[in-house]
Amino acid sequence: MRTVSFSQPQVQQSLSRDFVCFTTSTEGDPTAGQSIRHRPQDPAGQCIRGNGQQNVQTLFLTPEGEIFHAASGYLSPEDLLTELQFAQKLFSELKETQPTDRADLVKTSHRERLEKIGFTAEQIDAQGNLLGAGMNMQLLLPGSNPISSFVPGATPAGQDAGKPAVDPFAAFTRGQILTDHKFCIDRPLMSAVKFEKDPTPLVGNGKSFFMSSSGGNGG
Amino acid sequence: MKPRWFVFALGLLAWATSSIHASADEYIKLKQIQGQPLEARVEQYDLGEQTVTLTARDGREIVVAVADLSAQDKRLIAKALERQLFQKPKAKQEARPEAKPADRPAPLDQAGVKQPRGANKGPVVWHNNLKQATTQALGNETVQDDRPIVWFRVLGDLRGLM
Repeated sequence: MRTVSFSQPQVQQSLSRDFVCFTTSTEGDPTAGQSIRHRPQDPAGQCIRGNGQQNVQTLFLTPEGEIFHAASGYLSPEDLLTELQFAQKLFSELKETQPTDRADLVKTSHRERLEKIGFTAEQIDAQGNLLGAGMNMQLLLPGSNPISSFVPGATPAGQDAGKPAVDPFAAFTRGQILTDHKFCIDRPLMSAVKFEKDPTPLVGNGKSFFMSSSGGNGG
Repeated sequence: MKPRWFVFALGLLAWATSSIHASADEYIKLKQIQGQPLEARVEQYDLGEQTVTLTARDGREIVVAVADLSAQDKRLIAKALERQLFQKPKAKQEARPEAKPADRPAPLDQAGVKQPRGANKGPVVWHNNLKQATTQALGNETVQDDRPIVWFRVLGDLRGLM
């Protein structure tokens, strides 16, 4: 993400012009994942959105330190720009909103965005950390057949035989997006200080290992 | 060799200590503290408790909830804290011409729209302290000048190994 997304001029321009940038390391945090170490000059590996969700989280805060948006894992330059734009728009609206209505605005905005992406009310209202709870991610694909793509020949009607019914990578990404937005719906304007003490509502309790295909020095 | 856990512990300590202690002997004229104007020095901002500790000219210590402060007083206090927090970093920036200070007069973007005061057109500046970031995010005069904070929590160092 550092090598690919942060190096994009448009991303850099938006970050420096529209945001105050803040970074912390989760090294030593029990909720952090594991990774082979990469230097800044290492070539970028292939990632899909949401990869390494325990290794990197992009959170958006008000100047008062309240979280109003979150995106976990890898974000491509395009995805990062989209999230920056969403955050900027929501923040502009928050500035115009009465203090008593701000939490509702955050909930509504995230819910509307999920609905626009194609999530159903049932999926949005499901309880728990979806990925951590091992929810069948294929159910997250709009209009998808819940029959596993890993079962040979199990393709829904209308699809070419032999081709996977469901793209498991797309399902993973959608699952992560749903988890991120649900975090903001369930805990609108959560204090960043409180989040840092217990980030599990977003990152879960599991332990993941992330390694991109570029490899690393292992140091 | 400096143990990595020690560096991490220091960072964690700085993070967990959710208050800023002011050191400068600077009094500001606040408009309405507990119902009346008050000239006071900002002693401490507790981010976790969301309170500000003030010392009046007569030596009284007053703890005020941030929620009870008027927007104007919030800004005055935030600016006082910012001046205290950024005193040293600003001096460093002035010594390095390639690092442009972020508090230049509000420029216009390509569409001719006035950008928030404090908007930076130079390289991305990364804060590693939430209190500094929140202070920087508060605009100078109006809420419209406020900017959101983007927080990257990463396993490792954004500038080094990760």
